[in-house]
Amino acid sequence: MASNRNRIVPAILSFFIVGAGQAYDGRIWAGLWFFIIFYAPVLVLKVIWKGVNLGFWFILAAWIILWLYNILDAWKGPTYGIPPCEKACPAGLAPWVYINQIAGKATYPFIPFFKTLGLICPAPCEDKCTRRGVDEPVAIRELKNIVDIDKTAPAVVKRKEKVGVVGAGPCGLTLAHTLANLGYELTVYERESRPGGVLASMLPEFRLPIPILHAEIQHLLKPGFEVKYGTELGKTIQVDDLLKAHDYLFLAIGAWLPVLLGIPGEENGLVGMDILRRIKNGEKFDLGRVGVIGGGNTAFDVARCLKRLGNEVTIYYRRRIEDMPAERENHVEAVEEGISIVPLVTPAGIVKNSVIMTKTECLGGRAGKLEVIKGSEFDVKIDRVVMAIGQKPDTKFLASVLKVDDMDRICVKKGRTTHPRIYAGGDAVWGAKTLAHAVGDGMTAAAQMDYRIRRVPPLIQFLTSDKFLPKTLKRLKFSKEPRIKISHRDAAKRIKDFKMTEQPIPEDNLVTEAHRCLACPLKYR
Amino acid sequence: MIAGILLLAVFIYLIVHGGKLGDFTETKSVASVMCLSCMGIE
Amino acid sequence: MIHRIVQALAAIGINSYFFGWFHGAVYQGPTKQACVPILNCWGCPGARFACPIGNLQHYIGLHLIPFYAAGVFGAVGAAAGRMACGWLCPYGLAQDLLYKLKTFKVRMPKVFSIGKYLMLIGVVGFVVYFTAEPWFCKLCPDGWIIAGLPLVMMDKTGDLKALTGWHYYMKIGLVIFMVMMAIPIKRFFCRALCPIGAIYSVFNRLSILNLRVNKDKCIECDSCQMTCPMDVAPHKSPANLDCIRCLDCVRKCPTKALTYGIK
Repeated sequence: MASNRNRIVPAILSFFIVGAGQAYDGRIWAGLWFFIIFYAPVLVLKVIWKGVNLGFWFILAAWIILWLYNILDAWKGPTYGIPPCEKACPAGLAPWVYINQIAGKATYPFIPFFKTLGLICPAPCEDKCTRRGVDEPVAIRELKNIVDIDKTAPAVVKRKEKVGVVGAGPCGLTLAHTLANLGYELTVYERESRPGGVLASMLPEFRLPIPILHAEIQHLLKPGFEVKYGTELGKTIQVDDLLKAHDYLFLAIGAWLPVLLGIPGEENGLVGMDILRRIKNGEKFDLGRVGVIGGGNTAFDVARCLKRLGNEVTIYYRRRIEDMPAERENHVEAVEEGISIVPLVTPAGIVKNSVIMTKTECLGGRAGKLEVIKGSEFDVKIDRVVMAIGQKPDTKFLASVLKVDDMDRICVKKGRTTHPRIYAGGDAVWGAKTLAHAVGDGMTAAAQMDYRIRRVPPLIQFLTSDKFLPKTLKRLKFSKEPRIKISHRDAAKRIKDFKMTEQPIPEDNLVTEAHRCLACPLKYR
Repeated sequence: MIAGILLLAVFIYLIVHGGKLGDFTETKSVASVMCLSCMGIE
Repeated sequence: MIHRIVQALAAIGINSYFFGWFHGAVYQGPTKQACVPILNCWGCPGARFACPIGNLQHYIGLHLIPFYAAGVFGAVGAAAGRMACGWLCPYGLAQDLLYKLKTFKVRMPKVFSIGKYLMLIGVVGFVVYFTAEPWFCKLCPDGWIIAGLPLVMMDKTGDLKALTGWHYYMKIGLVIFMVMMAIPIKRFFCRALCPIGAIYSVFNRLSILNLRVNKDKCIECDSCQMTCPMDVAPHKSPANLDCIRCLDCVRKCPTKALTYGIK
């Protein structure tokens, strides 16, 4: 994210007069004290002049270091202590900035899928918000709805390097959009016939309405790079061909292989990811009594979709309810919609019209020891089983080109894989994770690729990288109000359609909510 | 906490012991003149 | 607020011999027997007390056991750890105020913290022992600011001015450097160079008054670390060697998970 602060004028001013650049920026005290500390010794030396002796070189050295620091400070501007919300964001956003801007009506730089994040992000920032020490965290996710995003297209200086992106999901599109705006020539290879990855193919409409997603994707495609639909890496096109055609590659192939149970009768079960895709394509499922195995977002999504299609749905999870990785909201809404959740069971076998379940004992929380209690088998009458226990990236064919870990995820360091010309990001690197991770990976990999291509040395990277901070960022008046309530449509009504469950919140309430932000960096540095 | 109290007692004793050896008056006489080293004068 | 008031009163109070300030003289009264527990040069015209590090070096140079200085450091340390640094030291106050300037800040790598122990053992210990010269005083930036500068500037006879040489200039250079370093880095001198800080730091784990974290209340918001003038993370290391017990973290903690008292 670029800063909107002019760096060159203050730096030049401070080059010639110590403290001038800081004063120009409005930092009067900083400028004044730099000036005094630098020029006061001159007055002392006028009184006591002992010639250019050994000690004089100390003074000169100190002067030079001070002068250089003064220029660096004028160039980079003041630093803010990074608050927990910004630290927690996988996409590197600074919630405290756009929240405190809401009243000031300033625009925040463009972030891909910003409005989508406002609808579906699990908001790790809220989990770390300092406000939760007072009452409850600020509703950061909802506040994204009233933030003004800067959608103006930047001026592009064309470059000759070619970058190939595999995957037109949120991660691939983010990187493609960012690099296209930096002037690179891009080609995106997408397996499906439309872009959007998980957001387009799998996410139910009652969480993310199609028009919103469509608008976001259209804006990302605006720079005009080529997208080749119907090309699948490893099948229609190979890595070596891509490496020949492009200078650099970015793999954003996601995690589309389902993890299977490995129990007898599994071939009678359905795969959750598959069902979600087919539902999004318009298919209806009338299955009767459905048992969904799994506790993540996919399991809840498929359960809630099948419920809306008229089935009777129960979710079975092998650990306790509090260990379920799905976001609490998903969970609460599902229970409201009449979906029962049975914890501490796992299927042992699937036969026609029933599932043999065994009880489990979970000894260590989400990732701890799990024991299957022998002899605890019982029968459950179910018409169809849907498996949604995990997703893996399909990376076996890449193992000869780059390093992949034991969970089939691509190993990266700062976006780069073990192959010097291939970068990767998103679900392919993390396993199934969030949209914020995908967007964050896309943006960091784009920056890293850009630095690499232009051979920018680390010092210049340091000098030119800047976080966006508006020129005048003042704390809003502190609000003692409790957190706003997010209301959902009545459960009995909403299971009849696929429209959004969350009801929109009036703008005034959101502005009040914005005032609950403690603006941590403005209180400490 | 016990360790703290013990240490406190020991060190207070050291101050008293130093005082008996004349440290207080010596400190006063040393500290009552200009410290050339501190000022940067040889 | 009260923290700053106490720091200011201490700084002024310790250096309140106004006659000395006006006439360029050094106080010679009875309170000069007493060492303040923090860095404050006795050569300052306003200083009413003695400097403990100066005292320490005096005895080490004479190859005698420094009972008095050790006693002062130990007693204050055993009682409250490094609290004197946080509430009484004028250089601490100066560094805190300089850091408040809105500038580009830099995080000091933790490895630099070893420097103060090297200063203590190497300079205040070995060099002073073998040269019988107060070598820390020769390097102390504080000494020039409150003693070297005012006394030489106010020197009417010209004797002092005639004695200044390369050492005086070197001190000016050191002072510019230290003052400058205080702007981007939190309490650089205290964390990387101060021998008194080094002595008190080892008492932090054993002191009677101590900092405690209530892990059930802590929400790990890092407010304590952001506010800490020594860049310590109190919720992770409440008995940290660098903690100066300023109690800013105790006041800023939104859930009151940090407490300071007799433990």
